[in-house]
Amino acid sequence: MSWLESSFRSGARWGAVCFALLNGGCNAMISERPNSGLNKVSPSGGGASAIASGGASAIADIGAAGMPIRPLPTAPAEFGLGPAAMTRLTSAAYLNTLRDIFGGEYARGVATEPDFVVSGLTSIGARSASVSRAGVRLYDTAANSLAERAFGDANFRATWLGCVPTGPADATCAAAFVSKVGRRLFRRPLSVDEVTRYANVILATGASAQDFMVGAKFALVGMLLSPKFNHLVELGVPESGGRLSYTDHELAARLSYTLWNTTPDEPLLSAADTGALVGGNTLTAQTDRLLADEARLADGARDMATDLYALSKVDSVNKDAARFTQDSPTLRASMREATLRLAADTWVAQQAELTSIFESQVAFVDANLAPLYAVGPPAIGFARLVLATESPRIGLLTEPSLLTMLAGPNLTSPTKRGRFIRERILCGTIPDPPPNVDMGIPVTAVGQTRREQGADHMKTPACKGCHSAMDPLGFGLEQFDALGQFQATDNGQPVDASGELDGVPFSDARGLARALRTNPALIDCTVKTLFRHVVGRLEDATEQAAVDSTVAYYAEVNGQLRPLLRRLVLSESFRKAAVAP
Amino acid sequence: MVKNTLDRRRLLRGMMTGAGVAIGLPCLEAMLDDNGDAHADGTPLPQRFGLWFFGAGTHPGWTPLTPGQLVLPEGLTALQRHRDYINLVSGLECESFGDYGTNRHTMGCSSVLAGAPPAPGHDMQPGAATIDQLVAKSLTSSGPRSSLEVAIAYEEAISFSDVNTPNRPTRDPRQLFQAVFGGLMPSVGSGVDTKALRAAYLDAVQDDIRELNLKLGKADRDRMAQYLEGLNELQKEVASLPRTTSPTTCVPPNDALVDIDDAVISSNESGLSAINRANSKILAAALACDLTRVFTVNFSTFNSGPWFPLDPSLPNNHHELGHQSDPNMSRSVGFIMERFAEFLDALASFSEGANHILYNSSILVQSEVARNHELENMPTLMAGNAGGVLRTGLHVKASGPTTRASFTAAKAVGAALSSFGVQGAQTSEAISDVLA
Repeated sequence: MSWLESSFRSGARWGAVCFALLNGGCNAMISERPNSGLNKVSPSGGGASAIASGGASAIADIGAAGMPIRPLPTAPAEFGLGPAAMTRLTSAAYLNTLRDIFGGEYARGVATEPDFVVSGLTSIGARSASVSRAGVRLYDTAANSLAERAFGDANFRATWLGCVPTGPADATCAAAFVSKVGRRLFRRPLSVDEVTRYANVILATGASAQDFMVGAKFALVGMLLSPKFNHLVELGVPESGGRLSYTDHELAARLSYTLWNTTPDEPLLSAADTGALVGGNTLTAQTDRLLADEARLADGARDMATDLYALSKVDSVNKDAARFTQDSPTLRASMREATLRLAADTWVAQQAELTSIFESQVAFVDANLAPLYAVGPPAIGFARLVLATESPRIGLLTEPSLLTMLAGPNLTSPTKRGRFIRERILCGTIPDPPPNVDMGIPVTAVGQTRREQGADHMKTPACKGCHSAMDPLGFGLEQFDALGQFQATDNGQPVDASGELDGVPFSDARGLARALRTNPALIDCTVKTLFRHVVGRLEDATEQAAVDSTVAYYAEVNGQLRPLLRRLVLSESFRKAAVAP
Repeated sequence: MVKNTLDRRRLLRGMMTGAGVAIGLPCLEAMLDDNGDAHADGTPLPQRFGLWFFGAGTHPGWTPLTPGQLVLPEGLTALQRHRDYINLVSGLECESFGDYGTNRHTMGCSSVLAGAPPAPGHDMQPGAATIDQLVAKSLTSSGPRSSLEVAIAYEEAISFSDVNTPNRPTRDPRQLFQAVFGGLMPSVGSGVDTKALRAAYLDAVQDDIRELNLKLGKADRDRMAQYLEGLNELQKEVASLPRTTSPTTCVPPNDALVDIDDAVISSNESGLSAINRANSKILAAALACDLTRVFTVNFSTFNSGPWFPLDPSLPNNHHELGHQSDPNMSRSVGFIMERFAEFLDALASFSEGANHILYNSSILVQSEVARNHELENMPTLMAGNAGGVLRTGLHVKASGPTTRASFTAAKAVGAALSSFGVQGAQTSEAISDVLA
């Protein structure tokens, strides 16, 4: 998924990038390559040798044949086990955790290291990311200011201290405080050694400051700074067959962060304390309880949408300030929020099929976004708008966030938009341009439409190989400019938003959305990305049967989020692990 | 030379207001030996290694026509006032490890910064530790921070401790100021031993990790090793906290933030000059105070497309001008070089010994691509003399991978590296023409 990182900070790159006379390289995107994110095909490497007939004809094959037909699974197949690894809390999960343990005001203004992306997803990156020196410093700063605030908060002291210290040397009270707050922070009861370790911070620091509360404050700082708090420590316990089974508390945390994107609440933690999640049958009951909570599940859905569509990038793409005077950080934040609301509404509140988001008639609009939808601003916050059936906008792809993110500073980019659909939505792979492309071609076209400016992409045989798999998809969104505004004309000419997806022609964004919904790769890819997001790794080649099985299940449950998540978190691939390397 | 702003008056003022805090040992001339090239006790002056990076390459006219004395070409004329302290090295190539299909920005950043191919799955980032971190690790005596990362346009990492550990830079000068100088202020009420208070919890967290390490696999232990480095640095800082102020007080550059407010920070390109000036001052002061000896400035990150504010305005952003071979690219490069010249101004404003801290530095200027997004004749400047190890004022024609310039700059400050880079980017050969 290299395209994503590589496209954003740059300006529009469309008119001149073109594949030179090199043997194709683009059939990679149509092949079934479950591990595509890791084994990127390079046009000069293995990929090129596989292309006997050249890229262009390989593309034609997709249109004719669609996805390769696989036999339906005879028995449900399960995903395998990935290696155990510590999971660094994503920025959103860290803030949600502070919010839920200490209160919403404690999470405000807290800065963390940005999430780490591997194979296109933060959920995968979180399992290999380290914390840099600057990141440790940010945790330390957050911990100090949070603890300072907490100990000035009578409510906090009443909730968590649980004893009245007799003085700075009150070891009993120190141990009680550490045990109580530590259980919430580490998401499990502390070991005797851990209680002693942090109680000693209270006693030592309290003695220096001659104040128990100062000592307790710094013990809290320490626990907040420990990787046992800001990571999910997933060690598991060995079971037969060289496998690891996650403990009750590890499982509780996995469940909570996956479904709610936050720390386990007291009922879940208590269930883990009894040891019944692994041994008994309360795992199902707890899973169902978490899935039933619409508001909390919406947090999980928002996190999923952010990860799947890389929505954090909406804020950082750069635009021509002279052309888009209305652009601002607040507008970008509104764009992102609107899309997150659409995801939560579609997947959780409406319980609609996951891929129905591409044909949703709903949009969330606040005062900043109202002009884009030609409606008046809502009185307060976001309004849920049901779009008219003749509206040019439809579903996720016409969300201002994605249209803005997938465009240049002043011009649209059918290539970027098409590549997003091809790679992120359909799980195809498109290689980077080969080396013998002239990247410095002057754009001389005046008065041409965007489509005309990029015409060489679709004419030159060497370019066509890859671009015909991207640009015709992106053309469907040409009615929306680089800031997601509707445009009827482009350089004075009427916009032609016709295109084609794997042999299915369309004339506008609505047609593109329909073609996407009927593309056989869509559900396959949706299932894969859901798995990747939940389990935090790419599926490997041996797991295709499990993908197929899940696709079959998807049809059975009408593609609804809750049963799909339920199946994944109750599966062995979520509950167990292979030994860490 | 601009007079050192770390003067006696300011020191006194800092002491009188109680704002000063002792941080390390700033180099005052009274403490120098007669030649001004070492401390009176014979300790050599600190030498700094820096990388100043800009994204998306240059214009075709970047390279001067002839080698020898440096005649600054179009786009680099802002550097005229520092010409005697810089070299332009031409002819170096970005090694692409035979993987010609990889995105050039990705390849360029990985090859130039780390001398290694990009890591699979980790996109748009170096595939190994970057040169600044190798230098930071190899320097035996450095300030309380092993390195400092600063950004001007985008808060994205160009410095990596390893493939999983980006060292994200700080862009907002207020945050940078706080991070560099603020942590050194006492955080607990007067009369209390701050050092002991923070040391206790830092010890506890380290014990927590040591215990955890016994149960972790190698990959997780490596990640925890990075975490421990972060904790070590905090501990070093706590240990350097003073119990009282002293005459060796180093005063933070309190005037650095005068032009900085929320509007400047969120203004994208129009605030770049102000942010550059402020961060240059803060960074230079941190170097003058010997708080760190290794730094990176990510002016505009790889693959970035900042649209520089010039009058009359440019027809496109820096990245696009490069793609379109637009002659305005030289003006866009000119804007970047003006900002670099301002950074050199800040360094030159701090006297040190017989010279200034620019003289006692070895700074690389690099980008991830050359003109037209090519990977040949990569833009390379070297600034500073590493205390006399490097001679400057030259246009040097060289050959081989860009890592040769990095290796030369690193060795000049005494980094204990026997070579830098892997495969075709591996080098142990300094560029001899710049050695004094």
